[in-house]
Amino acid sequence: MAYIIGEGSDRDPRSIPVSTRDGSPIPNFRRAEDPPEVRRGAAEMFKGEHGNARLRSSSSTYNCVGHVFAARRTWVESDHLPMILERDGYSQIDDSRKLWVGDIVVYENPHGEITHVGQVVEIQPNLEDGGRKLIILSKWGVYGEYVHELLDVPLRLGSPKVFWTERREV
Amino acid sequence: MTALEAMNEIERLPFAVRVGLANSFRAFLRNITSEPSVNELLVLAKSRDVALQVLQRVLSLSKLRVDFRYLHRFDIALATYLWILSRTYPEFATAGAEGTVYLPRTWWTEQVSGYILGEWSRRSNTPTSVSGGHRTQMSRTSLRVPRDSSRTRYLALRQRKACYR
Repeated sequence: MAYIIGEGSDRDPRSIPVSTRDGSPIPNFRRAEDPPEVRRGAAEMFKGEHGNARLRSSSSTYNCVGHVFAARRTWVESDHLPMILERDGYSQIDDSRKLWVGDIVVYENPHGEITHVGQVVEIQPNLEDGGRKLIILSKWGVYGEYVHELLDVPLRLGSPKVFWTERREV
Repeated sequence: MTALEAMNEIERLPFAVRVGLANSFRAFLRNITSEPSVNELLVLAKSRDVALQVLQRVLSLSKLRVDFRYLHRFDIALATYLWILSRTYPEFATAGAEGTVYLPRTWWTEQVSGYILGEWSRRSNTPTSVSGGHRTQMSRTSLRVPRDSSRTRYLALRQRKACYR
């Protein structure tokens, strides 16, 4: 196996310095913007399939991990997510009823691979079952950033499986 | 479905939208393999004539004028064709990858080309190939790409390509 020295690091011109809370570098790459007609077409398709999801922004320069952990500045492969969660000091939440605004939802496919991540931005009362409805903000692949209900994501982004928080007790 | 129909489908926007729902290279490969048109073309491209047709398509798409403000309009289609060739005629995949490696505004194509030409990606520390629903470590064998000196050429080309970014 061959390596290019420094690829994805601060010596790579396509990468920006991003690190975890303990200082470990997060490999990342800045992706070019998709053509406007592609982003428009994607928005139209998702509007038809996910009518309740609201498009917040349409840019293809970052992905869901870049949205949550790199302030929308760059693309971070979802394979790096476990390392980021561990080194940022996140702890797992065993029950979605304990989720709070700012917590993280990790989506997985049926093979147990991480496919997506989003952030809880709102919790509404669910009048149907008396429970809570979680509203998530997440970036859908290379396409738009959407405000949506927990389960309302394209099939290929998987389903919510694990919840994480970095909340600290006072 | 004929090879031409499959290629038309692969170059359409809905295909790009479905396959582009990926947050990692591995997810991208999995999305490709979930597409019926890709599986059809994969079967058809076992014929040398069809594989040549796919290679010609790769080369003609790679000659299209690139708008430097944006990603290549056919980035996903190019990456898909290269992946199909890597599974059927690795020597054609190598030729295609060498033809696309100069392209300045690609994302998935660059990553697939990298694998084909032997520059195994370090963007992910985890396995990136998809096989029968289970994770498998990607290797030269799984991509069926012959070992040659392409990697050296690729690294040189890639350095030149960085000038465009």
